[in-house]
Amino acid sequence: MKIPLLQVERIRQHFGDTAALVDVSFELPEDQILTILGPSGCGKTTLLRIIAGLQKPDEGTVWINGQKMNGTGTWVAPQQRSVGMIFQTLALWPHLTVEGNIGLGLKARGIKKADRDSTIEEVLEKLQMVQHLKRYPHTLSVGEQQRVALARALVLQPRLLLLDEPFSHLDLDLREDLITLIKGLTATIIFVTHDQHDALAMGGLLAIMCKGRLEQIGKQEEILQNPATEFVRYFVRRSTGLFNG
Amino acid sequence: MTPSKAFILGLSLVLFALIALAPPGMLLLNLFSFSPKISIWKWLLERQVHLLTLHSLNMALVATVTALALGLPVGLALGSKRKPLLFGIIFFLPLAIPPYLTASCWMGLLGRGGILPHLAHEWLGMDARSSWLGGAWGAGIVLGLSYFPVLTYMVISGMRRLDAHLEEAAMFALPENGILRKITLPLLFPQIGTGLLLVFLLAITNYAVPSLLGIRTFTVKIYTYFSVFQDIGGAVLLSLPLLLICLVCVLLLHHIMKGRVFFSLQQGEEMGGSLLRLLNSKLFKILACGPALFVTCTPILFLLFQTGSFLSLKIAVDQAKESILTSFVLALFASFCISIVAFVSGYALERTKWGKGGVTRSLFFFPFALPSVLLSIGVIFFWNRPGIVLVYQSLLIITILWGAKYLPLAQRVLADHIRQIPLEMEEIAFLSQLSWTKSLCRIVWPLARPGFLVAWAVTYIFCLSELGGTLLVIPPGADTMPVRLYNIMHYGSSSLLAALGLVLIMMTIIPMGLLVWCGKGIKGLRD
Repeated sequence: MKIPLLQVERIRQHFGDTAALVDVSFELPEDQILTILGPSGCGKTTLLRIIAGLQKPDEGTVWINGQKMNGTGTWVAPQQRSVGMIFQTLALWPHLTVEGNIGLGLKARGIKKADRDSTIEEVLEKLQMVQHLKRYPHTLSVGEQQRVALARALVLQPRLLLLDEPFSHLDLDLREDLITLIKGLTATIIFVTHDQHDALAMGGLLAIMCKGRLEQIGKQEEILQNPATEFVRYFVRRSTGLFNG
Repeated sequence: MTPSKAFILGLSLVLFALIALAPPGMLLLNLFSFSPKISIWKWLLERQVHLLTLHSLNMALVATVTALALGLPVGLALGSKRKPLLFGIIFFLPLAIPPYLTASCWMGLLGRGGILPHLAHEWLGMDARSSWLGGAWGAGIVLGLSYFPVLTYMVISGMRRLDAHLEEAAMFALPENGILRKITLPLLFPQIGTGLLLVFLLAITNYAVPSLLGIRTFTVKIYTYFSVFQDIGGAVLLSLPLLLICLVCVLLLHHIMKGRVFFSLQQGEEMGGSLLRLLNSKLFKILACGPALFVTCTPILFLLFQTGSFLSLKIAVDQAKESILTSFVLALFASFCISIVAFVSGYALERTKWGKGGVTRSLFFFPFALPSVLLSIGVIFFWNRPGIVLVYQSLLIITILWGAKYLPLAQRVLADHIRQIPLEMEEIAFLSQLSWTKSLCRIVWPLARPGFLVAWAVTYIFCLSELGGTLLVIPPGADTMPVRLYNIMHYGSSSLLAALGLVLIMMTIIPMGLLVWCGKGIKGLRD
């Protein structure tokens, strides 16, 4: 049996008295897109940060490609997890050009300039951004900035790509463009959103979170047709009106 | 935490502790093991303590009120609209003129035997010779004239962070002056309060001005006592009431700011500013900036007048070549080292869990609140030891003293700036497989560069003009410009004093001008 690319086992996280994540467990096979959908403050971002290694969970374990990332005596730093991420704020480095933003990770890997340049160009071509190579982030439109953030994450060919509500500031057309673009990638992706329309547009697997708990995970159609809890039924139906559960 | 991160941050904190915390800390820890020549109870009950407290508080309060009267309107006027670069530079000048030089200028103008009373007597037959400048009030006014830009910059910093929508929302309910009173000023209160407290601290810990004007304040008393008796324990005892005042100020600062940033370096496009027509009107700007401009330019014009000719300036430079070089190199070296340590330790303070505590932050800022006279005694006590006597006997001891005083300030500037860099900028660097060290060098450092240059500039200005502490630790035979000026104030000619005063101001302005000119390309620096 093939090992899933990502295994999350009984993750718990508290911030003071607030439980941000309660026993969250799931598996994600390779080359699948998982959309985590839930209201604001339900722990989606915390979960992503724990998977990326930006935060240590109070309890529980993350496995990537069969390798344990955390646990007693084990800690794999974010640099060694082969994970790419796009933040809600995009976090493009303002002092670097598009080329610099995309190339810095390659440079850190010790890749030679010629190879670096061709890799950057290749990624930017895929995202139709080659003409913006020498521009600074603040001179780009929001949609273009989004593409640069995506290019920066993709250029290192991560095993797992984490998208933390990256479309929250975009208009509908741009969202659709980027969703189409992401769906066309051959990569394992976790996409976090509070927007039901984005979640359904992304396709693939769907997970519903509420108050730090994973309420249900499965194929979209399964969840839409057989919501496991009242919350899932309410949350999905409330804004989409796509089914009569 | 990776080993390299732990090592670099740990090293910076050790350096910070050795330079800034250890000298005053060791003095206080050993308070009861010293054998002072005075009794603590006798001293605290003496009438002299009350007089010193009265004079010190009087002077500091008058300085604070003067700074408020001058600095707040200027801050409101300059913070209300973008691109205040020219005015910003003009109002930076009072900081470039050491307070003792300002005091000397105003004495030369208004004091007994000053130019104006002389002219009034000659032309109008009036006896305008008054001794007000020689009192605590006079010293307070002089210090207020020197330090009002601190408040101005704090207000500008607050104005830039002001969300104009809050004023817009109030426009439906309040008239303009109501918005100013109920919305704008309360929103600026933390910055105004911090600016006032900083001015108060700078004034109450100042040694040179009260010493020059013959006012008995705590700093003057501590200096005189230590110079005569070399009694460390006694000097510490004498400073206890002042220490208490400084401690209260630091706690108040912490309370007022409540985790806000002291120094904001927001970048051009995101700058805020008040929308109020009142603050943006030309009339308000003229009324606000006019008096400040007058008190800024007067001492410089007086120095130019007293110097007389370019030849006098040349002669003065020739005479003081060595002091100029020593001061310049030493201030340059010290401010650079201080800023480097401040950058890394500021990062440690801002980006690690233990640095978030209010006690840690107040403790780390406390040395800046102490008088440099007391810090120099701490430096002597801590660094004058067998084995490291070479440090004590060299000019390095002056650098250490300046570090003890200004490292906490530079660290605060940089920690505040680092706080304004989103953590995600670093996190994405880690996910892009950059090590912590590389992320520090390639991401944090370029983004913190404007803060670093500001910290460097502030430290350089203060180091270059530091006098009280330097007088106590300066090795025999060595000479800095402030020390030379101080001696000339007592024994030299007024034209030589004016010429060297101008040189000292130029030593501040030229590097700052170069910094602004070279740094035009660095986003955020010009703001």
